[in-house]
Amino acid sequence: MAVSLQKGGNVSLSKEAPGLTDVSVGLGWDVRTTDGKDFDLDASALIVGENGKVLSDGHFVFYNNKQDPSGAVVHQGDNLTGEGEGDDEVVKVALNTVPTEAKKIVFVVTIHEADARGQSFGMVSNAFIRIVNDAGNKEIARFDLSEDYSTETAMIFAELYRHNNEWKFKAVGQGYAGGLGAVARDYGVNV
Amino acid sequence: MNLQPGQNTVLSELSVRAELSWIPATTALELDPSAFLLAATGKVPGDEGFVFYGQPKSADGAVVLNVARREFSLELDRLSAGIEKVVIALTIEQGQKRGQRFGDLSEVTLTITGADEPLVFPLVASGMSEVALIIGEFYKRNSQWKFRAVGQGFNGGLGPLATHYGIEVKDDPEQAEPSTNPPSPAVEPAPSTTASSPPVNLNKITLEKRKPVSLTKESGKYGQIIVNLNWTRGKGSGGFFSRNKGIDLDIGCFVELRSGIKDVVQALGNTFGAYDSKPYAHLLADDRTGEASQGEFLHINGDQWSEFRRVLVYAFIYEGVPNWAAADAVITIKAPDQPELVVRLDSHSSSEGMCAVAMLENDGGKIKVSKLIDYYRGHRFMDEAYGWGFSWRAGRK
Repeated sequence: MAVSLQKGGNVSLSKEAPGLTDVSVGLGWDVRTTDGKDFDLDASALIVGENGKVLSDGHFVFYNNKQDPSGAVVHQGDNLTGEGEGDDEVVKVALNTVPTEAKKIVFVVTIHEADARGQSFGMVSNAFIRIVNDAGNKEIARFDLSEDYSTETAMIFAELYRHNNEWKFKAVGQGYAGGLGAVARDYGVNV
Repeated sequence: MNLQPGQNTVLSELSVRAELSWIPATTALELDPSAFLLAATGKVPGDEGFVFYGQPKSADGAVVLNVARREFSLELDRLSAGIEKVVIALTIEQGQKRGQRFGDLSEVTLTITGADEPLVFPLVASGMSEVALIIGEFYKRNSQWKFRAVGQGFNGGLGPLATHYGIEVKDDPEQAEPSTNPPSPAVEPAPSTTASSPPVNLNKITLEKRKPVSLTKESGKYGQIIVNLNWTRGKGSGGFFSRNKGIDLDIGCFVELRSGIKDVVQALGNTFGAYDSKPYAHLLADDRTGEASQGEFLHINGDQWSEFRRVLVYAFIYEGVPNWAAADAVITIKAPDQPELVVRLDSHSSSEGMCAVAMLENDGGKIKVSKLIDYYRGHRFMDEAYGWGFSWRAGRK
């Protein structure tokens, strides 16, 4: 049973899913059936230290940098159109191998060239982002982007963060102006 | 509340009106509103799921199109069980063929009223290459009705739009090569030999001009067929532009009976016809100004339909500069218990003074109605085009 996410609410992953070691953040949407530019949604992750900035530029995991130096966070591949069933982009996290200096992992979803293409989540059919416990393939939480974030072009989806030696999950669901570049810059990536 | 493309909102009221408008209001584009009633599959469950000028009311009565006002009345709580979405679309008639697209407009606006606060979706059209647009959709989600502003569409026009919603379009005039053969009337598709279910076939519906709507009635008697013409007198008449005498628009018809009798019914030449005797078509009062509230009426005796071969309904500008857009003419053809056919002549740049509006043909006892909208310089040219074979001379009424 997935947790219904309220903005800013905390869910302890270890309580929701005891012994959690591997999670996948999945992003899915439907291929555009009307004429016009494709909808290209991107899932990305930022591995952030105590100061709230990425540990290094290499700790910004996105379509051009498919994994962090430790290999704990791996982007499974860029999907440009939404073609395929279920999750169209997946970022996998092996929590046990995340470097100790990492305090949290921030997950974002953005629309590529949203401004130039004049697109927002509401124009995309069945766009969602979710987090799944790989053991048992159990969905922990899900956001409906098409429906509940219709006017946004970028969103901070969620954070996984360390708290008292366990990883906690915090749903954020905060729209973000400026796209992926702005998100990365704000977390200290040299874009 | 203003909506942007993609935005959705919960409806506070289930009985609403959705009106389409555009900027500039006067345009050469011929714009046809339509609605698709969709099941959870995202497809129409049958031909009753398509509401347009040829079928302006859904079978359940929950969605009604007022063609003249470009307005839909929706009672979402009255929709047939299983209908989860109502899509409002706007298409440019023969847009591809005429090289027209929504980018020829600057804005298309959908205004939804009936709830506490009007919902307005102003869609910027400039630069759009689409010929058919999904303007917005009413949809059920978690047992609530919502509305989403869409503003996406198809460069190929009505064909791909209809296909998108599960309607198979045959003989799409946008795509078809010109043919010397007349399009064949709806033919039942050959039974599929495969196990897969055949696509929903709605080709009996008038998707485009010249595709007939059949007003089927078993008895062969149709009662009184009422053809109405209404229009707006030219703006500014008698005022600043005092040379403008306004527009006098007339309705008329060519009648051809099975006996071979051919006749013209119109005010010009004082050939008002007769209802109970041949030619079984009668023009009522001549409205010289367009200011009579009901406009001009032509009655056709449907009880004598077996006598008819065909009737060509037309409108012509008797006096005034041919400016169809300013005349804003609406022609309604109504037979008892039959769907109303509404044709609007507001959006044409034609400088020809005559317009063939619709053809009523006796098709094995049924009335087959085809929307025409072809412009001619006058009676003689239209006659030549449709082959009635009258001889013509100038006249005054």
